Amino acid sequence: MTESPDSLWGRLYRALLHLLPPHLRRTDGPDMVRTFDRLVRDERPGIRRMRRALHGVRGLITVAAMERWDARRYRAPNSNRTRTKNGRTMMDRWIKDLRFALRTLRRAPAFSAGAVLLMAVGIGAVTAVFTLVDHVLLRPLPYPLAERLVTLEDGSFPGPMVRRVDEVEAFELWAAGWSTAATLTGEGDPVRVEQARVTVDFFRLFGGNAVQGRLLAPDDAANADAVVLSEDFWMRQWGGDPGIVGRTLTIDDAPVTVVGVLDRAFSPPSVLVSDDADLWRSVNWADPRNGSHDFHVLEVVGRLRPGATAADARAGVDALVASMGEGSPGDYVDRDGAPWAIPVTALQDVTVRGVRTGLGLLLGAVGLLLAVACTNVAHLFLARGLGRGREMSVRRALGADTRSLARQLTVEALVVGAAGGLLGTALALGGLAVFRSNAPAFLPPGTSVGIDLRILAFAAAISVATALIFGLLPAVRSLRRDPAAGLRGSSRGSSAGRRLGAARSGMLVAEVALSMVLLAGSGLLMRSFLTVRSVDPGLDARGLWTVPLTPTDIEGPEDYVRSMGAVTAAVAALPEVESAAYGLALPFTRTGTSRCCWSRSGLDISEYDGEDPRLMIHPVSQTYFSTLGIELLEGTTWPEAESYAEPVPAVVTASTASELWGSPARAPGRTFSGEDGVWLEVVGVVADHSHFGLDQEMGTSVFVPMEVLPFPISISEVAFRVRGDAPSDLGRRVREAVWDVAPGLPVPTVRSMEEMIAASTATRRFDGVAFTTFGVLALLLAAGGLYGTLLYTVGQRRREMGIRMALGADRRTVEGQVMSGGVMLAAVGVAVGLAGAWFSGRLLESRLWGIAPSDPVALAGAAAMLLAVAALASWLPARRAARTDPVETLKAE
Amino acid sequence: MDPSAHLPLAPRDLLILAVLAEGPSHGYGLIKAVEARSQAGVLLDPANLYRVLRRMRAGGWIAEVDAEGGDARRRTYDITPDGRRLLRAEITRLEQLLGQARPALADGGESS
Repeated sequence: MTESPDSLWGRLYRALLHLLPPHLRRTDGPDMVRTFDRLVRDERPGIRRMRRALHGVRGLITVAAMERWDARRYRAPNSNRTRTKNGRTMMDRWIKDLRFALRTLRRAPAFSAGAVLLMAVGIGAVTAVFTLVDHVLLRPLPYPLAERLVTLEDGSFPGPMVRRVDEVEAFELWAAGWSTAATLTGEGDPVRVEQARVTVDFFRLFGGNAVQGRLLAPDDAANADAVVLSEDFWMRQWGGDPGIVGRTLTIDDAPVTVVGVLDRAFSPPSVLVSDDADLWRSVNWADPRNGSHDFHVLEVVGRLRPGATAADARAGVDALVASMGEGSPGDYVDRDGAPWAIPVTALQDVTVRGVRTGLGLLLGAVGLLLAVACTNVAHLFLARGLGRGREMSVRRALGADTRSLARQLTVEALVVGAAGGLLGTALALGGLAVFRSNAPAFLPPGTSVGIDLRILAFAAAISVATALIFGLLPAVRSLRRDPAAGLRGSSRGSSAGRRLGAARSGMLVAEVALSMVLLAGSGLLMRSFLTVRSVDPGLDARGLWTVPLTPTDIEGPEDYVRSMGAVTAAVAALPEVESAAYGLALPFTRTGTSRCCWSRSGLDISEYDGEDPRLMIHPVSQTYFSTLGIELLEGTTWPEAESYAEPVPAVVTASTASELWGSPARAPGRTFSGEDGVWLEVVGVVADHSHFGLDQEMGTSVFVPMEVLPFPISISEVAFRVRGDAPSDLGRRVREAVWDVAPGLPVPTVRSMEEMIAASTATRRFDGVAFTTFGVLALLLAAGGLYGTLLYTVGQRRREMGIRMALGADRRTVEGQVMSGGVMLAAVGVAVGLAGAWFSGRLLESRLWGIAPSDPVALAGAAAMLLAVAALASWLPARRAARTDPVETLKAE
Repeated sequence: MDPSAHLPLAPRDLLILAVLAEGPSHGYGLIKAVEARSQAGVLLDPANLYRVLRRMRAGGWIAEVDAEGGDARRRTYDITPDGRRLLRAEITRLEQLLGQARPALADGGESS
């Protein structure tokens, strides 16, 4: 639960206060909420907190009922109240019905608990998931005029182009930014910080408040030394020291001045800069990299003028690209030489694109679950109603009119509905808390998720309506029926009974079919998760560790290579380290994106005349392949050297070699022009391996020595292989080794490659687990429905079975008949469900990997599981039927 | 006011009056104090507490007072002289009752 003043429970309590008479809500309401909130927050752990909260909510509901009742009674003598013929008020009668309903429900604990639980599961799941969907997908982004924000997609852009975005007339305001790591020194241990570089209109465009000092202003464009701290970083590093504004800090060995602190409530657009930026500075246009046409890091978001459309912006951007291309031939064109085509898309769409299908799926899954739960509730009420046919007949014979019977059944259904709704709310609150701690990737940072009362009301209304409709059916039936017949025909079943029997069978088939759809979905998602996990990464992850390092003090490319070489050598020199290497990016450090890399097209490739490939260039150190355990298939890697004469040695992957020259064996010796006309020569071929994730193609890739890098970039990742088990103080030992050679270099936590591979499939695992949870719930509900129905049927047919067994029927035969009846129903459900699963599999297609949406293993597995559970659910009542004692049964007649 | 008309008091009312007799308190403080005094695990919820407080105020047993210092939004309650008389009457009644019942245990009542 959150610690914010408006906790989830607090909001629920506040909403429930509306049950109280208005004058009480005004006088005591605020005090009650405050007291409730403090009491709930006092409790830990969660289970005690929930008990306290539920106790408070129950108290409030009871008191509200008593106060309203009192108010009515005191007012009554003066008002025109409606009297019944017995002289009791309507209210009296409802209260009496309520008491009666509570008593009746208490006498049927299995029915009451079952119905309440079913409703709670359905209401809770739908409320929790819809609340998420609403928060993540439907609400506008938290920026001023957010509906007019658009972003330029498909890549990052070089400084010279970004400086001319002003020429796009459809934008009334725009901002660009990128994030980079930097080092803060002189404040205790050196700290690696995330630094956002933004253009000066950034905060005008996105809002945000300063809690100290000010944010960046237009003057700061010329003065890149002004820095704004994030509130979290300010608290963490300086404990919220109010004297921070005006202080001089050392970032990457250069002095900067703190001008303000940014409110932590501000959540930056993640397409532009990192969500956890510690520092905010203006883009440094004096940096030569930002003047280069090759340095693509800036992302752009613009706000459309009123009346302008994304298409207008697109036209403006196209014109800008064309004009840039004229000034700098060879840049601003794609691999075919055509000018860049840059889609302009609403920021909202881009932000939620990754989670939209996932949440859509979840919503579909809980929708199915709610359907199964409601069917089951209907079922329970119907079965109970049938069982009470006799009771209804007796009461009618004794003079009860249909209206009072209907009223009593209504109250019963409402009581069950209210209890289910309350428990469902608790489940939704719990579910949201679990979700927030387990699937942060689904929630944009800074989102606080409160429960959605509208959807809670919606789900509760559906469940209560189900209960009402099916709860009242028996009363409607008893109208049509002669009470005497009801009294006579103890349990032999009338034709009406048979009709309802068909309805029950239909519901069972529907339940099983819905469960089948869910289970098949979970089978598909789980299997695709397992398929991804079983992909051979093409490197040896065991014993491999990584740490991102940000070199400082860099004068130029040579300096960068020298500094990183020394750091890597220091790590390799540790006794437990077998070898170490570094590269611009390691496998699995930037999964799911292809924006990270340096790529090049329009290359001149020897003995190749196919389509111009877009080549990903990976600068890595000499020991990269041996350290990561990537197999060398042909030739060699380059030798250790200070610098490399042209043609510079390069290594390609097997599939790249096959794509360009037909086979790995034919690759060595081939040449192609690399960056800035430098010639490269293939000296070796390595096995294909995963770089962007197990489920991502690596693409056409070439590995070149770090020394070829034409500019220093303040990122690099070190990988090292540990002998045997990693010591528990590995992080500390690595840190000390690095500080021996680079005292100012921050060393973040070391992570194992195995952990990073697991993290790269977390979303798939989440998909699978979520669907499986709902699928298993649906399976249990369907099995419960089947079990209940058969048990009920067996109870109804006791007499018939007794007679048959008395006439010599075999126990086995009776058992078999009951069981096959249940399994047959389930089989029909499975068949219907298979058709549904085939359809829903196509909806899931974009989330699947390596298996078809109609994967037979997943579908057959789900069907087998359902049938097995159905068989078990039928066998238990069947055994009971077979145990019928013929003599006992007949004696009872 | 004749205290005997309101006797016996419900245990919860007795505890609330007893807590207030020691000094003014607000809703949260009352709940904490009452829960600490009654057997472990017994919870008092805000809605019921404020209902009891409304009734006691209407009966003139307690009154709302200005909170010293603290939070002006939070209302504080104190016991009135009538409330104190009522509390004393109830405690006297309970003590007499105990005095009559206790001898039963003294004469080997435990041997049965």
